[in-house]
Amino acid sequence: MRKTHRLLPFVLAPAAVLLCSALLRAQAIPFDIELGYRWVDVTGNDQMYRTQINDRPGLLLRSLNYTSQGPLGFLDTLHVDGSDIGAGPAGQFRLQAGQTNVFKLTFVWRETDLYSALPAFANPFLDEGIIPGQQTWNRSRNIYDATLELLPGKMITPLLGYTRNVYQGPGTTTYHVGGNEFLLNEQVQSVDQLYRVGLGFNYGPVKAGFTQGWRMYTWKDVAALSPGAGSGNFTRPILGQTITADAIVGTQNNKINTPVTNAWITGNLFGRLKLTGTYIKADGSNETKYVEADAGKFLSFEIARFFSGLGETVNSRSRTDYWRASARAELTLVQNVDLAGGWAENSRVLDGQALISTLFLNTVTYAGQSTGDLLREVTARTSVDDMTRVFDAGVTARMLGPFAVNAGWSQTQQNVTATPDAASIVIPGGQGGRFERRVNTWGGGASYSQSGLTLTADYHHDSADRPIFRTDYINRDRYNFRGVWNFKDFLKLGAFFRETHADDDIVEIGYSTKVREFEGNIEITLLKNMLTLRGSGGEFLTNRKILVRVPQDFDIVPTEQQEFGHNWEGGIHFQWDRLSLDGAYLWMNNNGSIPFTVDRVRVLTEYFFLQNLGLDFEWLQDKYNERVAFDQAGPLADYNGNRYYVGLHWKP
Amino acid sequence: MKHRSTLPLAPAALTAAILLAGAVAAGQTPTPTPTEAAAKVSSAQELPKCADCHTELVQAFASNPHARTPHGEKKPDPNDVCTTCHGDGTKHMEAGGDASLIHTLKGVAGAQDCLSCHAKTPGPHDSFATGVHANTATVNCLTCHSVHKSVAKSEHLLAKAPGALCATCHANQTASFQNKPYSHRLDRGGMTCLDCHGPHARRGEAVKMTVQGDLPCLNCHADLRGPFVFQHVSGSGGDCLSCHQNHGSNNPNMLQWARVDQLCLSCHSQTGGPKTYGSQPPSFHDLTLPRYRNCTTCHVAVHGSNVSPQLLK
Repeated sequence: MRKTHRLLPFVLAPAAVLLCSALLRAQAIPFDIELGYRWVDVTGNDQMYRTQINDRPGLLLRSLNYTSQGPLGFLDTLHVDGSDIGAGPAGQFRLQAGQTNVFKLTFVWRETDLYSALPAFANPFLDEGIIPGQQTWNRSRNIYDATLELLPGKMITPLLGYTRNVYQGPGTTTYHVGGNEFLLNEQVQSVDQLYRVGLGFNYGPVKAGFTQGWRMYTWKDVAALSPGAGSGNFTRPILGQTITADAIVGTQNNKINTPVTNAWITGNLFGRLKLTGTYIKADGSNETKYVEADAGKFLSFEIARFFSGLGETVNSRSRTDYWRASARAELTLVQNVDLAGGWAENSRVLDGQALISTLFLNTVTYAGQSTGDLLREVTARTSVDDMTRVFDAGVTARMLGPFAVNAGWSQTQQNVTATPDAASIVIPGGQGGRFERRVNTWGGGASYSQSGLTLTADYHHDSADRPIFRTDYINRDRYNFRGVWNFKDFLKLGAFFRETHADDDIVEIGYSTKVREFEGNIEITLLKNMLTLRGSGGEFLTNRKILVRVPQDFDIVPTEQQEFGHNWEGGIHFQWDRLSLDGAYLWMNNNGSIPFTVDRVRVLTEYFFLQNLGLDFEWLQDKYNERVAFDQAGPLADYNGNRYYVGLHWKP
Repeated sequence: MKHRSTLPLAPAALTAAILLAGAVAAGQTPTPTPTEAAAKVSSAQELPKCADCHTELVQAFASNPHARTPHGEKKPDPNDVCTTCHGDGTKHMEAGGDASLIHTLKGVAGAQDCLSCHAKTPGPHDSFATGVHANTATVNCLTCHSVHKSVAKSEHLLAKAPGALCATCHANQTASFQNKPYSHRLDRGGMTCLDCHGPHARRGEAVKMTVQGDLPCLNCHADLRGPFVFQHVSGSGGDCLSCHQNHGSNNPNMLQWARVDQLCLSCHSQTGGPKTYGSQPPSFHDLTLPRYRNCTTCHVAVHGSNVSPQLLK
């Protein structure tokens, strides 16, 4: 049941009020609304369609817009807009209201539907033709944000704000317990709230802001064995016993409190030196309680026993101390030539501990001797100390005729100290220690713009002394080129290219990454304000390589991720009197690790049969075709999703 | 799935209340439109006003933030702000509207006029002089903003919706959103480029951080913020982009790698060379079996866990 359907009348209510307002004031108001219904027709893998597209049938408020012209009661500014509210999968509503010099209120609501049921993800049975995977969810996220600014533009500006982010809904997951993995149904609800109060200062050349916030977060997760999933993923006997579950129920409650302090100050001295300082502090404390009760036929190699039930409780706490500070200066050397330099540093210290108490019921040795219940208690401790410091300096010359150039250097210093958690060490190495890294970056760019031609290019080179992770580069080069040519109002041509090479010189790791993207586009206006044609095409390439040690035999083997493909698009815009038509066809393919083809059609026509009332028709088509590849779903993932929308567009 | 239905009503109820109050108040004391007001002044004092000719422009300008910008203690008047940007229009009017006799804002020179006010009040992370979109002939205020012809739905007087606007120069990123099978939903009720990027930001800071100093991913994905007792990644020790692509992706869950085991092993391997952060999985993880190739089948709490050191729940 979608709640946004029920919300629609309430969103439409303002429209009626606005209309009354307009009638009272006997003038046209800048109001615009598009409302209609969407039909959906999907053939093929519906779950893949929902994972990638998720447009669903139903009533849809495609667009809502109102901006007051002049005072409206005690408000001298009011703006309301919304889009795609109803059938989803993403909708938003925004309100801005205020009175000059008195207050400014901003309210935003955004809903996103989150669906995932991928055939080839977390699915050990894909080879047997079973879909979908075991990590799935069908959830929604609602974000509400309200900010009230008092006395805007004055010397002191108080501020009040509230953000609420609710993520909830069902899903499926797996638990590894007793030597097998079992599919569980899961229900999640998390509420993240941030209250904030602040003051803004604006005194001549000095501006500053201070905000104190309080983040309060709760998470509740209840997971229980899915009906019919008692056999688990592994159906063969282990040491002569088949591992099965009759019941698994786990409940996790988590609370986090984080006071957040934000402060900044900026000042302009002598009209040519700008100084800025910022500071953030956010210390979070986390408390978790977890209870699990299982029944079945299980095995644990850790205690070398069979057992018939398990009761587990976990009480854990963690704390993070985080701060970030920066200072920066910008100096105007001569007109349009500026120097900038700064320092930024952040530090995050994490400390955690968990008391994990596990009661194994009715344990039996491998030899068949009953040893009763067995209690195991583990205290796990974690600690991470993470610091990043950045120095940078640069120069910008902005108006050398049609040219502009910039150049800069920065150094990033990273330090991570992690204390290995004894409870998690299975194979020693890599889980802790002190890691340091220093990255020097230099680069620059130039741009040219004259007579409709715009060219930009920039290049950056990063050089590091060592990796922290195996995927950290030692050398990285980034190139970026853009060119756009506008010939009067008739022709527009664009070409865009970027490439990144990253690698290390360490033969034992053998890491390299190459990413290349090229995109070109053209737009031809055959009849001004009437007929425009556009087209675009591009090529993309990604190639990642790294040596890995596979666990089953500890061999070192190369692995490779490849993406290589093309995309094309052709489109038309036609406008004649009260009729408009927008159409586009998009195609792309990928010949890499997951080979697939995507075809997309977008058609929107609108005809205003009355002065202020138009009829809209939209057809969207998305076709996804996957080819057979190792560990991928192949044609099992294919779908063809068509959506048809018919609606009214009202512009009183 | 049960939902609480009260909270989503809040925006609508709030809007309705404010609009109702506004409508009632407007009905009691009708406010003259700017054009009407201009016409009155014009006929009374026999002096031409901008609105006499640019009627629609001035009428529409009443809803423009510039029309409401206080200048000292002076209450803004939409009929009297044109000169702020366009200068004295007397000669222009005397010449019957000769366009060459009125100052218009075009290109980088016009943008300098914008900055004569706006450069005084940038935020702590913004820079018009040295930022990623520093004021140049190629990119300047008037490249993205349109004072008189902005898109009604966009904040900050943008000339187009953010996605289409950014696509003008950042076509590669736009193509990634539009074409690839897994992507963040952009525009039309979804997020916009501006949710994650600060267009006026200083170089090296083009990504907006949250108020808590995290990557903007966590503004929405707040459930992954932690702190967790058993943290997977943290700052210098990796972040969201260590495993995920940010715009559009060819890989499920927008991962950097198509195969989960390859993604995980790219860090979780000990092959020699300098010591790196990332443990080696034990030998029972037989990657020849599909059971083990999707690491997240068992390691479900891959973003961090409060109850399992091995991120199993």
